[in-house]
Amino acid sequence: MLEILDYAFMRNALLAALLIGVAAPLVGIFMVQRRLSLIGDGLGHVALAGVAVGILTSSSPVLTALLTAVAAAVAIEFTRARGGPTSDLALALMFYGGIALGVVLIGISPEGTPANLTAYLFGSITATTTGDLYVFLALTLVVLLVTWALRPWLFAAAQDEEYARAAGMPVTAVNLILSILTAVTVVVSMRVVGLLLISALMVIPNAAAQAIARSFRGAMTLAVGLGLISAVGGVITSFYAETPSGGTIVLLALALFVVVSVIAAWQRRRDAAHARAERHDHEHGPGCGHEAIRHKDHMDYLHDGHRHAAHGGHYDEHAPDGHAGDEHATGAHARRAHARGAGS
Amino acid sequence: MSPVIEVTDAAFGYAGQPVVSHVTFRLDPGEVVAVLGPNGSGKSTLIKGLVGLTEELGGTTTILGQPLAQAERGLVGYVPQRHTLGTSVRASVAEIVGTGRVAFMSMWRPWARNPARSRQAVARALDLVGLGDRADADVSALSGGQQRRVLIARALATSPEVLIMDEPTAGVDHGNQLVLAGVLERLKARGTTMLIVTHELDALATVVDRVVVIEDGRLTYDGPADSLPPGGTRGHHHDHDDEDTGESAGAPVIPTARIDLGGPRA
Repeated sequence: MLEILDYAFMRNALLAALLIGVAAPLVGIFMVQRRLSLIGDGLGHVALAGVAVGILTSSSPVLTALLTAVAAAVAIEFTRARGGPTSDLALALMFYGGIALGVVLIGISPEGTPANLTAYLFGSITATTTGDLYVFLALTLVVLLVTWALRPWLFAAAQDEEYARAAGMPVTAVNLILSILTAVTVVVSMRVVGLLLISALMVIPNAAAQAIARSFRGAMTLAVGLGLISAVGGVITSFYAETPSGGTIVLLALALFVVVSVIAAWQRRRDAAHARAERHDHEHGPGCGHEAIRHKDHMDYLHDGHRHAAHGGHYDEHAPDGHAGDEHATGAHARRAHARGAGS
Repeated sequence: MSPVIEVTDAAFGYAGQPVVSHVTFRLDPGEVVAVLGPNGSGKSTLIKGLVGLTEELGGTTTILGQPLAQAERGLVGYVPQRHTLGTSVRASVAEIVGTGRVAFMSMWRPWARNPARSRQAVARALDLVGLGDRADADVSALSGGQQRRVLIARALATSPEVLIMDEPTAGVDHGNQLVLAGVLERLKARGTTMLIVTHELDALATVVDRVVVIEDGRLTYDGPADSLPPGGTRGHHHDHDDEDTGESAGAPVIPTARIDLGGPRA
């Protein structure tokens, strides 16, 4: 399998995939958190106009796309912040205007072949030049560093904007920074994934991680792992199967989403089989008056001879002795607990 | 004793238009004061003004002697009105409470953050609201009443001098209301100063020292709860009648009172 590393274009494509496999889900989780999953898609549309200007003026398409996407990101943030009934339409005008302008400008430029356009829209493993790679490396490092350093603030602002403002946090600046990070990620990804598909790599690994994770940190880590597998795996697959890289990466990400969803569904079924304790108004907690017993990673509370463990909004019956396979109460035990009613 | 909050002839509102005005009251250390009043009376506008979410449009307001505009934000813990903690992504209880600390730190110096100290503060805050054993739970799996306590813990995470709460017991079932009242009693016993907007004075009767009534954008009563004039708070709050500003529609005093719908603003 290592023979693919003999090709310079594959080395470039794999390294680029490595970078975007990490960066796209990392930035994407905050966009998902702000319920702006599709903004990356719009930025990709607008970036095509920037690419076209680069081709037409024989300057670097990556640079012109970067400038256009960042300008669009700032415009989007201000349009959204101003709000009003027409802000949604204003964004639509911007996005369609961008892609239409891009297609027309690439069409009239001498180098604008249909193959060229397809590579920008859907990605290609042969498209990443060594010159691009250095630019991508530098930009991705900036994106990773800023996102990682600011992640507590990005999380706080997206979680509860009103509260963040009450705390004196510069919420507008945080949103603007996230928007610009998204724009840079879109441009960095355009060679391998393509401008029309990049948003998928920001969203799909996060959608999969959300199905199974229990914390933000866990979801973020898992999404980055899935993104990395999708991007690198997609590039390798596209080399052997001779398929377009962007589509291959996204299909692989979707396949991983299905696998994770099935695991999550199986987990939920297993959890639903837990024996529930009777409903009671009393809430168990430290110092609640019931004896607390450590049980693996949580506390059981001794309630009238039963061991109650908090699970979601209710309590599970846990077996008195913690054999691994006997963690949860047997049916008979649970039925007894239910029969007691809420009297205890 | 110097007051924690002192409001003198103050006005608060939106877009230059006052919703509450000529409000004067003080909150002394350790005091627990309930703010009552019908929907649309301006009580949320008032307490949001104290955390900088509405505009200060007149009079003087000081927090621990500092003018409101310059007051250090971490001194005031804010518990907004939320019926659920509807997060769009997974988050653990500890992560949500942790935002209470992060939001007050300088984003421009991210390296100055001290995660170990934050974790301790978050654990302490969760113990105070009785959720010490649920730190790693998915916050969306908690009951509504437990989620309210997560919001209180978030406000406690900076060890504020005063807690300002908007309807902490609204829409919470009876059992959880008792637990919530117990948490507030515990905070009161520790000497925490609190200003609580509520429609359910009965649920908080054991905690509240004094009552302030806001009607039609004015403060109309300030005194003990048991000598509250009958009908002093017109109408009762129901979860979903926030849109119904009918009860203030006939009030000629301040037309902009309708702006304050009591619910979370977009």
